[in-house]
Amino acid sequence: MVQSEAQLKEYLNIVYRCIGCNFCLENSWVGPYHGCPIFDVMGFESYGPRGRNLIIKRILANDEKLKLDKKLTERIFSCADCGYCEEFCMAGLPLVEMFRTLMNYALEHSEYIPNSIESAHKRLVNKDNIFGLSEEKKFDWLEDKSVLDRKDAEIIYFVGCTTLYNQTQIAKAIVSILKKTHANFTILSNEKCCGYPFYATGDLKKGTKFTKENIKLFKQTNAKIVLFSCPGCMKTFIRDYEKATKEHFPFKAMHILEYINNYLKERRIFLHFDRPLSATYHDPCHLGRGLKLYDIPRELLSRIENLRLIEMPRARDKSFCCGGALTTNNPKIKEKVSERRAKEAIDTGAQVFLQACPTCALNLKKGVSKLKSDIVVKDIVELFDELL
Amino acid sequence: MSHIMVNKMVLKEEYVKVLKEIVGPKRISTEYVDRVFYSKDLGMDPTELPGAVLLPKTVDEIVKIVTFANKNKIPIYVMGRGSGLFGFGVKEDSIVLVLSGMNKILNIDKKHLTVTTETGAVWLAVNSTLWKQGYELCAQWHGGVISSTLGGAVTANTVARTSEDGTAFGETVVSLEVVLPNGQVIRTGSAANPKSIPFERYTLGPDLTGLFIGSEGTFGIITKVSLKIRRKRDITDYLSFAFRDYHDAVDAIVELQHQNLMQFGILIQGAILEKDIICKLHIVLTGDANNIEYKKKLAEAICRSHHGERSNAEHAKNFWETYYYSWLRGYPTKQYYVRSGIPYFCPEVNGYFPFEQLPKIFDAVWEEWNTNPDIKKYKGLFKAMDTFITRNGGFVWFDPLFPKLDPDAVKFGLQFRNKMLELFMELGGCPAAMSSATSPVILSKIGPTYEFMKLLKKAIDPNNILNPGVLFPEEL
Repeated sequence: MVQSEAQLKEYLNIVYRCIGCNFCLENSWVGPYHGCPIFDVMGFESYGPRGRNLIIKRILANDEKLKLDKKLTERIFSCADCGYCEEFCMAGLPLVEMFRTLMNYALEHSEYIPNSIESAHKRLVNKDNIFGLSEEKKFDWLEDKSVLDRKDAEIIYFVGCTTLYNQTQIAKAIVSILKKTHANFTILSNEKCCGYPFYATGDLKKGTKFTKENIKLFKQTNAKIVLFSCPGCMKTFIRDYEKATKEHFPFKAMHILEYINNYLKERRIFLHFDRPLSATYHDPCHLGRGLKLYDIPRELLSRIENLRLIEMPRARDKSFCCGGALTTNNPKIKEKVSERRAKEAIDTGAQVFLQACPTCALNLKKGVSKLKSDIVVKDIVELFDELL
Repeated sequence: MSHIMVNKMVLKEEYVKVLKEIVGPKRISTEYVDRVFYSKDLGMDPTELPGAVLLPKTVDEIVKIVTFANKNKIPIYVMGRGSGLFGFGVKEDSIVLVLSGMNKILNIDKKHLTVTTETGAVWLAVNSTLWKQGYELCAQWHGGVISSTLGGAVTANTVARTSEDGTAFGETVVSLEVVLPNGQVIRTGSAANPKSIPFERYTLGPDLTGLFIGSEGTFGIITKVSLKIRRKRDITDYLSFAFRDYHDAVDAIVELQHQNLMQFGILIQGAILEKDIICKLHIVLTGDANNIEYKKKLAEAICRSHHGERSNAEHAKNFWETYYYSWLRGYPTKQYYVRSGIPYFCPEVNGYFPFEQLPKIFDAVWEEWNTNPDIKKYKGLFKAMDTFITRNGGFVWFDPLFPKLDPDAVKFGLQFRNKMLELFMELGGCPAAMSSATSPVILSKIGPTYEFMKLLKKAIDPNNILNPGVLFPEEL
């Protein structure tokens, strides 16, 4: 029996505990909205949590009529890994873990693995980053190369693939903030992908390999704190890795927003805009539901005079995904999901669309651009870099 | 004639082609996994695989589908969120129409106090939208899961969580838009007049709205629903009383109802009650600053005079505010549903009873539970027997649990349900929602009334294409 099959069997008594309440799909507390982004776009339950549960049940029942063909494989991988379903599951099922294991089962058994996944995994294995870009360009965005590989630094800023290679303005803003706040920090030039894309498809072996290699690099410094701009990376290190290996992440993990908030709070600093500005804030799935950091971004924004925060209907734990893991799992659905979230932000009438995750930035910018809106998509750190 | 072979399912290729043209290729599925998913609700009754699952988005699409199905005598099963518990009874080669995608809130009429939605609008979504504007549905959230659709609630004649006069769910339906089996679209109540709006139900002839409430989708497909709304009440408060004898509890309830005090009352029996406590009455009171204290004091005096003992009202509050049943027994939901270790299914039995019969049905259920040896044999659990207090009686839910993964226990559980239904009918109970598995037990007891229903069905749906077998046999 292959690994994923044995793992799936562990869910036999769990998957049948689903009581069918639909809370995994619905977001009715806030109005006529769905919570599961895939179900929201596709409409059939087989694309949502209850359908995925059914697929697991049929596999466990050895249902020969269930063919792992192209369409079923597509459904299995159409998961944004956003955690909405698990957050609201009345029966408390570990849905994220179950669906990741289901994907791993498909990776091992299906002949129809989406190209986007296969190529992403290949890029990771060959180049250590999800974009498959060359190491040479890794730090083109960094003006002051002296921050690299400082052995005596107290803080390691783990940049992460998307920030390093795509949303470099976030990395620049963070380096700038760290300098302005006189942090003793470094960036490790040989940092690798955190392993998230493997965890997100249930391949814990490959995922933990990447995480471990990074931890090994961290240990070669004197740092005590690892700072993250990507909540996905942070969650991978302190939640997924710990769960998969039962080993504790041996550093204090901190998101950049926590760092800024501590800094401002300790010094009782308030900032201000000269002219009134309205903004809405998108809770990234991994920062919110994953790491339970809902208040800190809002507390930070409340420190800016002349900034008015307008909440979207789906906020905090009920936040709607930007598309997240669909970037590799199902790019077509991702585009629609990003657009829907962008529309929700645009409908608030806010001038600025804030978030705190490079993947969200990437997806939501595309969504906004598709809708031809003037709303400006920014990471919160960019805002603070301007003001500090 | 050519056929599409999908996992032994036979569906005429030209049928699929036509249906695809109607709804578009992305809103039809003949995939095995979809056919399995939409072949049943949350019940465990046997079912067959439909030939295709469709997600229509407009009334026009439904009209075309129904017209086509009627012409070709293809059975149609209509589904909202599939959150019923009583079986769905889908037949092979049929079409399942899933209407949950038609979920828009079309109009909130604050002048005439109605809300009109598409059929797939979810109860809580509508209520939460109304709350933001200072209004709420007159029939506050209902007995089923909060994510069930309003169209589904009408068609199954759901029981609302309301004990006030005039707010039983069916009484709050003002008007419906319905696609008949011949493809014709009708509107009921005042909305039948094209020059009018949905504001009055009992007008323009007989009450056709009532014909569709509880019809389980057998007379027509509900596409729009207009319901009564009211201003949101200022203050909500809670009381809970424990009783050592349910005769006392029922006496207290009768008096509470005669004083019209409760927005909602629920009497719970079964698992997780304190020692010597037979039942507990949770009371939700609503009002304003002028009357809430008076209501509370009077309700408390009534319960005390019937030997009620004050209990933790936080449970009632948590239940009302979070929608989680587990709070009725003081449990956070995730803890409640995993407590039993293995997966269970719930062959629920329910029905309305007049006040005078409530103690008798409670006696009978407990007697059966304590003396039937097979319950122990199949590892049955008494999850709950809860009674929603209605204007002049109670809606009793008896929820036993049986192991889901044991086929013999499932078989026994379903047989036990039907046995209990017989008992409910015998003691004057009147079940509401029905299915192909339960309707023969229930409707066979009402003789000429059922014959009249069959006559109506024959007249409205001569080809018996809408939900065949659910209320009426496949061969009428």
